[in-house]
Amino acid sequence: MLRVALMILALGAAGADRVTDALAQLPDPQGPDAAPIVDGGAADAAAALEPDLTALRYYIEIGDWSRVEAELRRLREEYPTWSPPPDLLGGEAAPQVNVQEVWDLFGAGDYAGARARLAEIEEANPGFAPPEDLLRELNLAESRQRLVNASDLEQWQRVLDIATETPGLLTCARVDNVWRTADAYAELGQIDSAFMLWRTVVETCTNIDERIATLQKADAYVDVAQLDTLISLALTRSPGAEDRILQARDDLLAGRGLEAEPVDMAEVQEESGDASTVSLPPPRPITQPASAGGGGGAPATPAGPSVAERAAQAQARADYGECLSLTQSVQEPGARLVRAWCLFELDRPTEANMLFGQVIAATSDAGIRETAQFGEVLSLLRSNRLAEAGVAMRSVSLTPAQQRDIDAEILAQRATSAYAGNDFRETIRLVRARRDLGVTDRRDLNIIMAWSYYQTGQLAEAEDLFRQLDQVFSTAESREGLSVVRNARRAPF
Amino acid sequence: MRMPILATMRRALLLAAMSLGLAACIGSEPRAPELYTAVQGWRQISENESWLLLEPSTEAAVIARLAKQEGPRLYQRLVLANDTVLSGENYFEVMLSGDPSDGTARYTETSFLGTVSDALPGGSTVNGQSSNRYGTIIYAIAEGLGDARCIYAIQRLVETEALQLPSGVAFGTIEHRYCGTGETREQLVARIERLNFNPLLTIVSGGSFSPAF
Repeated sequence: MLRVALMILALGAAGADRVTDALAQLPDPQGPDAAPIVDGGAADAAAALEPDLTALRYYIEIGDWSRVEAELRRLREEYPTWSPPPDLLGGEAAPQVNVQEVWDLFGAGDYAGARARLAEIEEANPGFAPPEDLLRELNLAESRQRLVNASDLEQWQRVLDIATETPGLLTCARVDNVWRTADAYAELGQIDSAFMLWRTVVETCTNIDERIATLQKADAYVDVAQLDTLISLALTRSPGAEDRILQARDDLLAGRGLEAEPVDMAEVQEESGDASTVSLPPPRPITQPASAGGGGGAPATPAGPSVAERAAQAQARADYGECLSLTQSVQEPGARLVRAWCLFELDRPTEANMLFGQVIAATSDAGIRETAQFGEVLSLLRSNRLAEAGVAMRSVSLTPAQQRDIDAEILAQRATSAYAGNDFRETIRLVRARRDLGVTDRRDLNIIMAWSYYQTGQLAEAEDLFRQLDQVFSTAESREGLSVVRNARRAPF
Repeated sequence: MRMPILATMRRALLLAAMSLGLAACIGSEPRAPELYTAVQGWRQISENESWLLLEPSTEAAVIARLAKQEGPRLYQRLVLANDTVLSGENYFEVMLSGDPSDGTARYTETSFLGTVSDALPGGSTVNGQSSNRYGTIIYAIAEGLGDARCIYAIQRLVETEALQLPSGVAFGTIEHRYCGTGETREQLVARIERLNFNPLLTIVSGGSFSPAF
């Protein structure tokens, strides 16, 4: 808990130095006091006080004085208290070394390349000291990449090690890092530490979408009391967004088989006697509907969440294995529908398709049937059973959004088939057409597109795409692609 | 304030749809109607058209029989039931290629690890080698997945006394992927060790393969 206390102190301070000092005092995350680290708003504030001088230095280096003046004007407007450092125009001892190439590599996400180029520059220029901002950004980016990799591979202790080693990694500007670190704590059973991280984000980071997302992420691990603590904090710190937060609360509680009492913000603030906090009425179990014609006098019987609800809750937190376990032998169409979606998510579209079909045959509920029909089409498409999907689509009334997603799935399948048939230009055309629909990119399609660029001699495009993929999540596949393309570009012919 | 259960479930389903990326945007009409034309892909085939004959217990687990053609390659895929909570489908997939210049790029030394990694749902991997009447089988078994184990196995098909490849077939492959609860390593390997080709596969009709194509 010492680490947590220090973190809170750091968040209350404005300067980066205090954050750094506080972080430096934090114990090793493997120790018994292990607790979260966050520099949150303080680091943001520090970043705001330290303008990025990269562009300015670059314009000076190339002697573009009109741009130097323009950039100085911009910096002074944006940072009123800032003044140019004395060494900006080149200190006497500073060698004239152009590190723009390193920045370019950094900007392209090629951190290893940036490191290598920096080493070359240092070797060629004895006495040269790399710019601190470059080293800081490079360290952060590399650490971020390692943290994401470790998190994706569920190496939770490694996530905590990286987060601790790198002050500045956990900020509101990089809230995904904070979420991943909190997940790591939670997965290691250190819920209190994870809770403090979520709480810090809700308290400190001002983006309302991120606040709500934090509530949703925490929901998978915390109890109702902790959840309401976070929601209460979010309410007091998000004026104007109370309805969204309360709706999020309704959703999260419903996932637990609970329902919330109506909340009057003015009333709960008054009850708490403090405008900075709210005291939320405790939720109650969702009750079964009163039986029709039941005499009107029978009290509703409290009931826990149904299998379908619990499975849907597992699905919502992407715990598809739990979803399948819960629904293994159920016959109720609602639960089976959720199971079908979980199978779909687990890349088991054939089984999902069978189940969607069974739900369609068994249910008399129009809403369930429509959803299952949509799932049936999507799962056929995911299985690349395009002709059957075409037949199934004829009996389904699709919304424009559903139609778009089905178009996207068809394009994905066709692109994959084109690639398998060595038709690389067609692959590129189809992946581009899918992107034009405005749907979320798929990594597997980007990989085959990058290889298609390579196969058609578009090496720059191939390298760009592999680099982007490697930057997001470095895998043997992305690294191999990058290496092959770079070697090809270096080849004399 | 009580929330109807069905409404709750529908909201959960909406969440599911959102998690699938299905609810992000609204209002786009199909921009490329030609996409619906000339599309190919897997089609269902009957049991009689299957190239593979499986052990009875494995045969009973078949939930879909599919076939497709991609360029010079003909494929059949038997999707098998899966009693685990792990990701990925269980299947046998046979590929026969009529192109002498075709290759098995997925199975080269450099790409095999990636292929295995894609096929298995994680865990620690044990590699092994076995054989059946059609030649050598190379496999990887994933463990440390709770009470489940998984296998991913490949086999390059060559003509043997037991298998006469159809006229015009340059080579072929079998891929097998299976995850099962309580499976031993031996049980996992046995499914591919004991498979047989339908002897009718050797029949050539009009330059195309038979059965199924």
